[in-house]
Amino acid sequence: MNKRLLPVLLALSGSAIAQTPSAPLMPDGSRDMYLGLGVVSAPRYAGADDRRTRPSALVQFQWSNGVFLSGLNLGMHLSSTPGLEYGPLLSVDPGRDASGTRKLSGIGGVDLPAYGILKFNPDDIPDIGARLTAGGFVNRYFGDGVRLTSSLLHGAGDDRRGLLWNVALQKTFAGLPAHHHVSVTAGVTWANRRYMQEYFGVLPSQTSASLRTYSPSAGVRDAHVTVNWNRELSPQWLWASQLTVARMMSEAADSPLTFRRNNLTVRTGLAYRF
Amino acid sequence: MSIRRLAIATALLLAAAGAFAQTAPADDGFSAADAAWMSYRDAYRQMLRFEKYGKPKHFIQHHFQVVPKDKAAGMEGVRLLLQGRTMQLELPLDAAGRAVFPMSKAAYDENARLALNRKSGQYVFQPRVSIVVRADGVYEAADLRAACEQVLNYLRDSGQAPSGERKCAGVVFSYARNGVEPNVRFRGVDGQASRLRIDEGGAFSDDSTVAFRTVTYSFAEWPEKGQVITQTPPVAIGAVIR
Repeated sequence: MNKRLLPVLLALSGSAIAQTPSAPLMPDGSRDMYLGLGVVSAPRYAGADDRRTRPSALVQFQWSNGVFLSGLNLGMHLSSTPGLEYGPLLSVDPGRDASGTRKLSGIGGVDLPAYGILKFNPDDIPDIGARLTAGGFVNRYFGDGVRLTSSLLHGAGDDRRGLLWNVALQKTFAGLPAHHHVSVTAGVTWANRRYMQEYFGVLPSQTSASLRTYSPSAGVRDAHVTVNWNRELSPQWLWASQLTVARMMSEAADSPLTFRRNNLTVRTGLAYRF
Repeated sequence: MSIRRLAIATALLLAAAGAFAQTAPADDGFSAADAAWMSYRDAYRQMLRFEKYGKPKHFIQHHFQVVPKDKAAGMEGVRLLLQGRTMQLELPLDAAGRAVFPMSKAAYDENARLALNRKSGQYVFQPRVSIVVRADGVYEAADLRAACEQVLNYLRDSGQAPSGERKCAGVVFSYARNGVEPNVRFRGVDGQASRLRIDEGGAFSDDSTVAFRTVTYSFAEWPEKGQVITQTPPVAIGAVIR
């Protein structure tokens, strides 16, 4: 079976990287929906010894008119060209609270590779509010189960001027045992200076004994590799698991707020298709 | 500590999944817990992709195919059923294991399943692109070359083409082993006709079963212009891609 056609590479994440489900191929007036629960285990802060395990919702709705809701991403497929997908995209940048924890985490959808997780000094880091970001996506298929995905989103951060551009290459593997679906995604996320400053910068007013002033410029925020493994238990029930390794890059990695460059996140959950 | 919590939560979810995945007790084989099945929605997507395919496809067709994983298993007695909440429809399989796929909104909305009266793991469900059989049995050589290219292009575009550089090498006409002897000839522009050799093998180049008598029209062995004439209609015409 062509795995590319299986639109259920479910992930459990509150990721700020927005990716999109495949274009809808269904009868007019129909929909394809997944709803489920799972758990996610990730470092509380990058470099921290303790990990945090919490429940995670799994949400993906697709309608025949092209509209989709995937985790915290709402978009619409507009392309009628085979092999090409594009459209507008709204997403929620989860922000973070003073402890460094992402807000609105634990709501996931499809193909959402995790981004780097940072270690923060709870006493020094200002709150960054969750923000609605807007932009678009373009995906291109190259055959052999390979898809290039990209999304551009603007509006992150307290000043709502953060810009994120994510580009990733996804390979879906064929020839696996029945009802097992595996894909590997490798990508990078670029952020503008506003975003980098807000998430990785340290203003003179925020400096302390443990924090020096830091003013990063625009650059690649992270590189990540994600492995998705889905197991169909029946036409209705799906077991979805994901492992992500993210490496902080460039000036995000050099930030005094980044204590560990490599981060591992594991997610798994059960979804009902209706 | 958190790893232990993750393990406990995972174990609980797995237990729940096992309970949810149980199906009705075995009766006719279709509803057995270990019956081979596939989501109708996933199969529907594959079929609709071909319907919406925008490049030339007038020489080719798309089916849903059931293929035995074990060469010895065969297709004898294999039946395919579309099972929904309010529907139950048997889909006849041809000698090559292909079924005409019903594009049913009701089945899609009910999240129906396609089930076999065989155990899971013994058979594979897959989309199958083949070349349309002509009623008059006369195929222009150029049309067969174009048909093979159409198959290859579709497989490439849909991500189903085997990896590596692949080219069209010919087409294969397959006939039931217990039917009349195949008679396939190549007629050149000079009117001279030559009979093509009969072999045994699978209906398609990626099919390793030896279930058919086959006649391969190899592009390299025959002139570009001419006709291929079949005396009796084949079960299937597949593209030979190497």
